[in-house]
Amino acid sequence: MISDINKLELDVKWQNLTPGCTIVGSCTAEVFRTEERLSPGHRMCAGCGATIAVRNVLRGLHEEDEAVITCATGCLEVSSFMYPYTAWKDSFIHNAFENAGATCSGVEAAYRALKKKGKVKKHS
Amino acid sequence: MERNHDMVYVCYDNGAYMNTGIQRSSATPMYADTTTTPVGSESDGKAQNRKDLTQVIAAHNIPYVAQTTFVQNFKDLHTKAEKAIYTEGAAFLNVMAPCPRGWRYNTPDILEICQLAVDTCFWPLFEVIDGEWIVNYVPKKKLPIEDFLRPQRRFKHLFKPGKEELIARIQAEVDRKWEELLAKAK
Repeated sequence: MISDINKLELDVKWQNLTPGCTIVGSCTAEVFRTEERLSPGHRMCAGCGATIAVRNVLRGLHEEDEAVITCATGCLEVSSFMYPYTAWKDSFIHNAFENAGATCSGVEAAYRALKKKGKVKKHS
Repeated sequence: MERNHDMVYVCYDNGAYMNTGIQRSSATPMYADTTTTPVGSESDGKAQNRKDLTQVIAAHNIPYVAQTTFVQNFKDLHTKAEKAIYTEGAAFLNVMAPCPRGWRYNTPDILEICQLAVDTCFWPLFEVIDGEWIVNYVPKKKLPIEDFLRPQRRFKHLFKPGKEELIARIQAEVDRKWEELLAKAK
């Protein structure tokens, strides 16, 4: 299937937003108003693509939900998570280069186990 | 991924080991200048094509795989992030995230670079939902790959006289991958 966004008729009401947000469609505008989950003041380069990716991926998470983020060593980790400080509003686990995926799968398994035992007080 | 844990793997692809000083990686595009593939009289930069990680993960047959970057006021990225997060089972997002230090472009031009990557079909926007391939964006006019390479000084050497063949090789690979993707989405 090929869906071409150029040709899709989107129900977009164009509107101006506060400084920092240029003109976006109404469906996105709501999303841009949600609270940032990565605080400013971290040490990434100005204009770095990584933080843009992080902020916008986390906007996909509904406001009432929480995330556990696992991150491998790299620019993103060393600049945003200098112990004991963190720029992240959600839980964050740093592990070595190759381990982020494995760490996350462990978190998921632990969450399932605890939920099964009824030990998760608030689950999202 | 293969165990289908209920998680999202987000890869931000900046095309090299940027944190340690711009060493080449398997994600580095062909002929890019990096500190371990320096351009000089004997070398034109990285000799190999980049590894297509999104295809590698798609081959794991997980419920949701998508590739995106910063275009269309983040609509594509936001839609895919939401889908990935709320997909039951493993999901993967590959987000092209330009690095001003490593790619050596004018920092404020990041969104133009992303748009050019999509319009030249260097970085197509697509998703694979339960094995079904969907191309999300077909440029009205597919631009030549030079337009994407020119603003980045890591490809500066490709625009010297006598290097036209190198650009033609990059173009041929981009075209081949794009046709391959379109065929999969049919």
